[in-house]
Amino acid sequence: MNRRKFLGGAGAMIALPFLSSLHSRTARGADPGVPRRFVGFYLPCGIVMSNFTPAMEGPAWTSQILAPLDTHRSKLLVLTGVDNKPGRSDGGGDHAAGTGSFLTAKHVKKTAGSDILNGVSLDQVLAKTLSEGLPLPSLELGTEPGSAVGDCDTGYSCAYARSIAWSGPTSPLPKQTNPAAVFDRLFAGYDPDASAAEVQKRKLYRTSVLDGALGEADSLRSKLGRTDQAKLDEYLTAVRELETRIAKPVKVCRPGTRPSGTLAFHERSRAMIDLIAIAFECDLTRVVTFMLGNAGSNNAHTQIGISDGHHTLSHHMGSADSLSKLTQINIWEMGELAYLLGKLQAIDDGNGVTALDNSIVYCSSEIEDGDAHRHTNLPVIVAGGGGGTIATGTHRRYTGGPPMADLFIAIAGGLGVNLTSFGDDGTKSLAGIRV
Amino acid sequence: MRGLVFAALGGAVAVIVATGCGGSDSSSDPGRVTLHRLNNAEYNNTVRDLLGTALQPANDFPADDRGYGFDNVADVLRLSPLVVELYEAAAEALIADTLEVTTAQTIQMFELMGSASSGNAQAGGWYFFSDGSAMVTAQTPIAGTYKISVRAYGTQAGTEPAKLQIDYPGQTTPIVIDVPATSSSPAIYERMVSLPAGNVQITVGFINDFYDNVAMADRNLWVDYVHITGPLDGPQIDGERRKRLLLCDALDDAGCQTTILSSFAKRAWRRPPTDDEVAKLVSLVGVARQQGDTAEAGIRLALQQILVSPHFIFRVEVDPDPNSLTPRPLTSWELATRLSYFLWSTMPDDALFAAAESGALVKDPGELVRQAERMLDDAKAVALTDNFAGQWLFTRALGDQDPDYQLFPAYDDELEAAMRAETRRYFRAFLEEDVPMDQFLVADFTYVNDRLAEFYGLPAVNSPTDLVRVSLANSPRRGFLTQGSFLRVTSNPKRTSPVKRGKWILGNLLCTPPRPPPPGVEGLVDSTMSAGSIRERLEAHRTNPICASCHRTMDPLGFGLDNFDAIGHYRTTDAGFPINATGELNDGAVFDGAIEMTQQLAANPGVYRCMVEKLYTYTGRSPFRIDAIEHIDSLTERFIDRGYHLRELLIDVVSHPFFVSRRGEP
Repeated sequence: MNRRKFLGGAGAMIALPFLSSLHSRTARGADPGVPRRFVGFYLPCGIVMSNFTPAMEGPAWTSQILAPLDTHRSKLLVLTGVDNKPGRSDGGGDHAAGTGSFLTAKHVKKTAGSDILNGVSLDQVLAKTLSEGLPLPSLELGTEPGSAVGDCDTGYSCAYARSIAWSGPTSPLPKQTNPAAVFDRLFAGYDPDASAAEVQKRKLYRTSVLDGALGEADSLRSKLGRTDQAKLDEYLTAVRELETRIAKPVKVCRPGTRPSGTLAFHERSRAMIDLIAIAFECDLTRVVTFMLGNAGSNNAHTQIGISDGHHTLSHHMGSADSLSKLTQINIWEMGELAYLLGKLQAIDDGNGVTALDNSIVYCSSEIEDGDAHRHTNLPVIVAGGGGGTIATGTHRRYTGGPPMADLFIAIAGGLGVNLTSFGDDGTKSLAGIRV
Repeated sequence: MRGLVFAALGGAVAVIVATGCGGSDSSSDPGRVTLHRLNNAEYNNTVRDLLGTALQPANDFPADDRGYGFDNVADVLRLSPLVVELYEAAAEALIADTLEVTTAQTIQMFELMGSASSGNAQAGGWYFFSDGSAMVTAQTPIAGTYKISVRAYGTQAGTEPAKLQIDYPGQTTPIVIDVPATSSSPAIYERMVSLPAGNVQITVGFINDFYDNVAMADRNLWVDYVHITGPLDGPQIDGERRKRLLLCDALDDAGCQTTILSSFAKRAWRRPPTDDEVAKLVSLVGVARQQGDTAEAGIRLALQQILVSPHFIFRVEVDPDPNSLTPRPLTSWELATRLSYFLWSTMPDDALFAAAESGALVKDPGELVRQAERMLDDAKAVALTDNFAGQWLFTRALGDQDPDYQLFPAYDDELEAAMRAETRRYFRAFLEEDVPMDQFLVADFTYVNDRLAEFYGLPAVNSPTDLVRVSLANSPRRGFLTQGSFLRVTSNPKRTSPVKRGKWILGNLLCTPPRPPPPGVEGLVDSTMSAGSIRERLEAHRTNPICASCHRTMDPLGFGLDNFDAIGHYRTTDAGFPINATGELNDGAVFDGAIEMTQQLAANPGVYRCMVEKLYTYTGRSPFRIDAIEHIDSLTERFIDRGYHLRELLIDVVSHPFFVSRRGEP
């Protein structure tokens, strides 16, 4: 399984170590040597469904909003009629509730306090297998840090509104929103020219520092009450995870240029997508989630000349002007997705197969229509072949509102992770997805 | 004043800790605060004061979660694997930044002097049109290594690039540099040279002039400047910040290592470390020595460890019996930490640490108040303005979203900065100059510079930058609600949002937040303005009884401010419709316009109870406790009775048993 490949941007050669095979939980038929990847791509505030939904099922679909994806159509699966009913809110707060549920398909507990409750998100389930042995289980990226004041969404915790990745029911994974900081996290302190001895010494030093901190935390823990112990456990878990990471072999990879720390929104989006591609090329992780805005984002898309807030516009009440602007925003969003797919298409996984062929990109929004706040008939794009396991190249319309969680089971199966249930209402692999 | 009718507590409104009236509360349970992770603002302030660094690592930490409107609620401040990873990286960067060693260097810049036969001065540099040289004289303090930097380019012709020659005293090998750069991108050419001490003449020359009359080709050399930097190998200068950390020079000596690490741990952990803790830190020096590194490398590791320790990351309060419900007084170190993070959002300073060390802070009842008074007078008390007021008043969100620049061309960074500065300065008048808080909504003064004065229609103040206190007597503005910052953050990009303004008043001024709207009915279309004024269209809410239940109290408050547009500019019409700023408060009082409405609000005791409640939430950092209702009530009474003084309220809060004690949990 010796493989060689070349970094597109930097042009430098990277040598990948022997890949640990994805043995125990590998689905039948899945080739363990293929690097399978997953991207969860989140869009805020819904989609103008009348301009999204293709008129016909089948491979000849046309859609105004999906136009930017046209070049990738053979590798796309457009789905309509799939529901995420667990995303409903309890008396208002559909953006946060739908976002919390975006990849968990769980009905989240309404609270603005510390007693948040959700499920484990699809990306995190997949990360355990797909990123096994890699430096990072997953990367959580976004474009908006979060509003500075007030409620996040009518009684729902900011955690639901800002995080789609959940490693446990009470553990949202916060995302990074500054591309420069992401780059530093991936590559700072990393010297591709370091000798093995230098690498080993750096590992020893980092581990020694963290061991000391762990010792302090352990001895502190015994003196605390249960609530404080639970808080300190978050710290202990995190430090141990970091130590595990440090112990993993360092991959040699020249990362290219550090992006600027002061980019406008749309430039930040592009820089983040570039980093997703770099993380995949350098095989630092195989699972990424990306939020093109937080729940109910009111970002003004001035890069396409729209100064109204997105959320304000999304309550269009049928206004032709608002719907037209929303459609422009949706088209821009699909352009960002297309940019990601193009990047993945440019990564050569060997044997004429691209990273896009081996990946599954799941793109949707927390609600269907921005004005209606529905969690049914969500706009869904599944892109990439999943290593030849996904029946792409068509628009499929479902009736009867099958659960999104069933789609997640199908996606997981395509990536070699067999699930028998998922979230609140996932019981089987959604028909029509797998080859 | 027990009989005051305060606004009812909104459902999930948070609350907390102390009361100021020393004993009039029946409850004596101080509650407990969960292990408190430093939030991003606290982290940045703490490393600033601990290390004197300009780095602000928390700017790239994930945004803090908020609870009950504030980002310092301990239970809600989660700790993710990502942030721990960022702590580790920040610790390394912070220690490296603090221990940086510099050498004394100067950069000398010169005017070139040459011969008119081969060139002439051009735009501060020298232009060689034929072979020749120009000279500078540098003053070198000592003999040593210096860097000569020459920025140059050539008008290129012939088969080779223009050549630059550098000559200096004591030179052993000639320096000839190819200068292929051209005028569109001059290049900097650097050489390290050994120079003697004294006045040193350095010559730059052009040595390959080329001219082909037939081909009209002419090679010339342009030198923009010559800089001399150095000495590069001069004596090393320890920075002040390095000296403050490395308190002794014998870094190989275990005693010195102990001094450095115990002293730093004490400040970073906000309490004296135990001998055992220090011994473990010192052991890291051995790890580095075993690897063949210096003792300083090992001390760096230990310093980094202090910054990733839970004792630094968390504000730790350890109960002797964590399961005991019996209140216990905080230790002097715990109290100093509570006090400094409440008033300053940062670690204690030397004076407060001294009061903790001596025990005076807990033994002498007057000392706590003296320290609090002193701290409120310190510049660091601006943290209350930024972190408490900024979140309570929503003004922290100023700048998060730009208004539509075509509709509001007057709005730019300069105006926004002036608005931000105005509200900060205004709040400090109440905090630092003791203006009573019953003036907060109705004060007839504010602070403006020329730009803001012009925007508000006030006379010029002849101060382009700094804010000047001015009277609002002849202006339609009064108090906080008519300040640009508030009016902007409660608006949409294209229009005002009377709903947002009304909602803020209900939730943050009266502590009676409206219920959320039912699904599918929120929002108002921005872009179709033809169907009447916003007011008329909003009135439509009230034909629907579900909407009316909230909007009939919320909207009129917003409309009271409708004479101020989405950037806070005064107006009498909106899209051609005359402004109707009349309305009615919950208690039936009617008003017309902002001045009348704010006067009526200022007369409502519920406003002052709400101020106290918000301050409590910020102080207590914990979820709602039913005990707190009574404490807020009694504290409010005292606040009102004694004349609405914010400082007195703050002193009451920090003096109360709820602030100075805690208990465990079963």
